[in-house]
Amino acid sequence: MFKRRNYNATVAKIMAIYGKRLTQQDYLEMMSKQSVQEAAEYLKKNTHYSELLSSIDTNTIHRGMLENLLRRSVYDTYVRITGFEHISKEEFYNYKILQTEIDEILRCIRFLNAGSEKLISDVPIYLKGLTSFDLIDLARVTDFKELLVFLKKTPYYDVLKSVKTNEDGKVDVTECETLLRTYYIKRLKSSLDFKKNDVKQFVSFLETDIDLINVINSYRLTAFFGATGDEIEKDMLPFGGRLSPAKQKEIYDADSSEEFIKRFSKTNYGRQMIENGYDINNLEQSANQLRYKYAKLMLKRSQSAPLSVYSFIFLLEIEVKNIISIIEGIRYGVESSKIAPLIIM
Amino acid sequence: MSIEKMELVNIAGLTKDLDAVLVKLSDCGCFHIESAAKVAGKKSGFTVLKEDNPFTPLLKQISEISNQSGRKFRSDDFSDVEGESLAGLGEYILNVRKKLDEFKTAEKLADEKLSVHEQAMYQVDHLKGMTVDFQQIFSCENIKVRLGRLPVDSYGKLEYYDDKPFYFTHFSEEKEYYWGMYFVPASCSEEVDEIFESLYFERTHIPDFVKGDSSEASAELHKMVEEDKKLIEDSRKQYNEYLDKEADRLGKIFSRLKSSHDNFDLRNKAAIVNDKFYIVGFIPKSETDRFMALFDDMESVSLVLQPADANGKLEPPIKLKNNKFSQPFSMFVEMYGLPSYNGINPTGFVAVTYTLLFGIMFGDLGQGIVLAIAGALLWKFKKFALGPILTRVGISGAVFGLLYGSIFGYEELLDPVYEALGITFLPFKVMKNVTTILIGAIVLGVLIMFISILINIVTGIKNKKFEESLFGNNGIAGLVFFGSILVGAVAELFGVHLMNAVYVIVLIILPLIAMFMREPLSYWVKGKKYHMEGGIGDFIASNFFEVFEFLLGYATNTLSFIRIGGFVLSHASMMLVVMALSEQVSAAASPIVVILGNAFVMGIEGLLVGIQTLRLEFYEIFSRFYSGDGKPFEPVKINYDENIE
Repeated sequence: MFKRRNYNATVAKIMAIYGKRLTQQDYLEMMSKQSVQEAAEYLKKNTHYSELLSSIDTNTIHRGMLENLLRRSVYDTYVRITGFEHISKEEFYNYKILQTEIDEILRCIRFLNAGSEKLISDVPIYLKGLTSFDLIDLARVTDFKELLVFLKKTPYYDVLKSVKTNEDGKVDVTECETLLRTYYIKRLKSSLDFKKNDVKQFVSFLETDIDLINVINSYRLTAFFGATGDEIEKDMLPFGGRLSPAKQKEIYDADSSEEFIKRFSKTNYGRQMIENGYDINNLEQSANQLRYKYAKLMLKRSQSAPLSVYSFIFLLEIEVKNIISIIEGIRYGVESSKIAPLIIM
Repeated sequence: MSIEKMELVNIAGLTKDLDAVLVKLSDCGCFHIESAAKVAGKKSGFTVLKEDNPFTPLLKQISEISNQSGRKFRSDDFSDVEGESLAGLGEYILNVRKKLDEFKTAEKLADEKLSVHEQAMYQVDHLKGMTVDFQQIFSCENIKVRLGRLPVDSYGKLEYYDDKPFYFTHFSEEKEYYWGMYFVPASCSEEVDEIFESLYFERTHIPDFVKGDSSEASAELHKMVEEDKKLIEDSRKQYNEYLDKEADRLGKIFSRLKSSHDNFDLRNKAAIVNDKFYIVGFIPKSETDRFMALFDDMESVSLVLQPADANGKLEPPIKLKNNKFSQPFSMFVEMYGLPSYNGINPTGFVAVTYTLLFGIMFGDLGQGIVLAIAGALLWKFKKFALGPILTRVGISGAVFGLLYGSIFGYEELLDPVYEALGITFLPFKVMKNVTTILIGAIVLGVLIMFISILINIVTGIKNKKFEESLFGNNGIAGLVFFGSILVGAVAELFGVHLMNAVYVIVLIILPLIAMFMREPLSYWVKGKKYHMEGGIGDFIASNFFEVFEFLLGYATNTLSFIRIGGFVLSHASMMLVVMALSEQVSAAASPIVVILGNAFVMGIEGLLVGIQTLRLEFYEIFSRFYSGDGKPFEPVKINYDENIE
């Protein structure tokens, strides 16, 4: 059934919604605002978020609440487009729940490591009943052992059971993230039950995205933790894209961030960043811009619903991240010239 | 229909008379001023006055009052205030502003109170159903009560805090919020308040003035809101009444100041040396006597008239002279750009061709008359610039409709009339003569193109632009080439063999070579030596492609006129559809379909034909002889706009 139908109406609907995305002018207008409330008012009056914010008093809105609302809007849009032709029951479209579950487990682990207790305020409660575990109960977990017990009946237990805790009861978050993201990608790949060409296109996009995620993570490990090539390699997602294992090794072995960038600039991705005028010295931002560009390309070229849904939601999440960056910038009095480079578009 | 002849006027006089001269210049309404410094040159000793305009600050103040109140202050007769000093006027304006500010402040204060009361009312309205006195709730010693709203998402998270000592209950729901209150023991209030804060609970602080339970408080607040609104209304009324009283004087002062302000601004157009000034500009030749007479009473001022093109640094401005029929079409010409001073005024040609082409395409007696009447009404009541054009093209459409025998889409109504008159060749049934219509469109197009090329030849020779007028694609060479091909082809169609070797060589190949060599040939005609830039290869390549483009242009431009025939047919076809539809509906609905159908066709077809004709004018006609690089004649005058730079 899934393979036979094109779901063109879903693709058309996505393109219609995509047409209302925020423009550079919108971002500039928001950056020029003096307060979170003014920025929220701009969103409410001038953008496709007007319906979301229609019942919100922008004069009193709290930044955290606005951010939660924006995150929820991504999920609401996802439900709206997958419900349009009732495709949400296909296994592939469970990826959003899977992604959120992993994000929540990782957030929980980070909170446990940091000893913080405010996990509950940002829990995506709108997903209650849809996830394979209770989100409120997850927020009640107090240490990693308890987390494993909590996850016992979910597939995540097998994924995380090998993770060791140190004497403080803390765990290696990067290791957890690699394990969980690897599990996610495997699950995603096994659910690609659509046309051969679409699968090929999707896998190519996914592998490119993984390459770039690996580049971002390995750069962070090199620049901020001085990790060695071997240490980096074990924390990378084990899926090859356009970067050959030898090339990856060569980059990971760089002994400084400058050397890392130098070696990376000779790769296909590095050349693309330069050609597109991205600032390769700001590698993390440039890699994210490239990810955004590939998703945009897939959305524009694809006539297939799963590819369109995946790339569109990806772009929408980046849009929300951009807004949150601006709101945080305004909240902490950062100059707009310093916020602007953080915007991905 | 020509271009108004201009005179270059040089005015010199003593600096003490400068302001009086400038007043006369702006009053006369026919003087186009130029910068005298441009003519005098830097080395002549002349300087330009650079002064701050003393009238600007006061004007800005009136402008602010105008913007604030949304009123325009203007008076044609300001002689009453002409003698008053600037200081006196400034004091008056300041007092007016002070008084107005008082009213505005009162309104603002009332507005702020209204905002507080409305906010409290909004909150209290959400607590309806709560029958306990607010004062009693807030005076509890051991239990703290917090009123407000909790986001829907956060409401779902309350179960996380099951073990905490609080109780939340809500009175009403909105899309994103639960309105309600939570109770907490005073000893734990700090911790629970923090929890609710982290859940984005927005606390409502009920003002002290709110008494009783929610219903009583709501009633009281509604009363306060009404009182506030009345207060605001009263303040606005007082503001407007005061302004009504002062509007006349403010208008006179504004006009007087604006007149002085704009005249003062003209001072920097004058050049000054020692105690003398020099002004230069243009006047229409027809206004010369009236203009000269203006300065009869100023002995120290001397005027010298010169031909318009006497000074190479100054390009004469363009004022088009049109007759009543063509006048409205000058809008199209100005849209494209004005002609040069020695060029020709194409308005008449545009008026005739536009009216003719529109009429042919839109031909319908009834619709044409309606369009003409609509145009006249739009002009009379709205001064809509397209109105007079619509009237003319509407009449043209009606005339052609008469020839086509079409009235509101009814194609047979006029048949008996023509029969009775014994005219057998009319009406000209459009749908039965498709080929004739299309061929006729091309013939008309070719005729218009020939006329355009002839205009270009005449103006080119007049202005000594030989390259264009003799050897260009829109010159004699192009005309001979294009004409010969058309004549030859048509003759062949009628079985006359004209295209022999001599005909082809002399009338087709030779003009083609002339177009190819147009640049060196034009130098030769002028008696100058031609230097080939970029070498022979470059010359051949660039001219080959240009001539190729010319040839392509002849073909596409000619075919472009087929659209005239196309729109004749499309108009008739659309009306056929309307008629067919009207026959399919009931007898009662049929007139409605005919009326709506006619309105739709008139609207859509009128718009399309209007645009297409303009396109033909600009692309197929203007491009052959018109450059549109002239500057408009703009006589100096006082601009009574409230926006002060």
